[in-house]
Amino acid sequence: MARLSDLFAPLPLFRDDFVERALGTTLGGFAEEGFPSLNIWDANDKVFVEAELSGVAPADLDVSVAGADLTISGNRKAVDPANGTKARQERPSGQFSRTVTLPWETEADKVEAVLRDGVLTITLTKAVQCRPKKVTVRAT
Amino acid sequence: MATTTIEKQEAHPTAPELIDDSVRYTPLVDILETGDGFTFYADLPGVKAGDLDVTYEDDTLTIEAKVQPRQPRDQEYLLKEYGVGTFSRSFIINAPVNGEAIRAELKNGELKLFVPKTEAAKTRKIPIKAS
Repeated sequence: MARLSDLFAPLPLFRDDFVERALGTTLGGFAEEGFPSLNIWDANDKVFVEAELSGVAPADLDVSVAGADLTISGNRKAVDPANGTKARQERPSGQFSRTVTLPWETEADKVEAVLRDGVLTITLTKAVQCRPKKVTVRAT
Repeated sequence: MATTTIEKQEAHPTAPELIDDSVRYTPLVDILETGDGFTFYADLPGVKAGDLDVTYEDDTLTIEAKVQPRQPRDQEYLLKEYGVGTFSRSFIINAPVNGEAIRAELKNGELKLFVPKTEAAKTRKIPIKAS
């Protein structure tokens, strides 16, 4: 299983790269790294990407995959103040988009995305040529 | 309208706070004040209604929500930008509110709490008589 320290420099899964690559908007004050924050791990031939997206409806969320690039984008509606005043405003709102490049190409037609209780879990399948293969060692 | 809600937490809203050897996460909250009461909106991803505890005592509103870890403790990550754990936050409300009539709604990891003001504290329009 690849670890951050094992990845060669050209493979862009370093935190600094995310700051450059992330297309987080500054509208409504999203974090510099990009919104949403992500946790990514892999197991065998699957890659898992999890994001916390409270208050975003599936209809306002878009998940797309192209090769090794995963893009999570959407819109989070702001609270309508109606006839009140905002005593405190901490939660970001507005349009957001974030693209990450995974260390493996993935099969675009085998992506699953589930949004439950504000947690988005995306399961991707590594492309066949990227999966680990057991090599039989022959003795001569 | 004057701001009448005082924040009890000094810590940065997104930094975890170490209490009793277990990490507590501070949820981000929006607060709206109208003549009738306060509406709190808190982001509580991964929280189900059964794990949520909202209490009001001594002018303090406390939101506490247990979150079960979603991955094994020894899970290795390629990228880990946030932790998963119990949420906790308190607010001191220095306007008279009716703690018995707080309404809570949890949907899609978002908590909406309506804390009504007592009758005496509600905004009352004063009629102006022309003389």
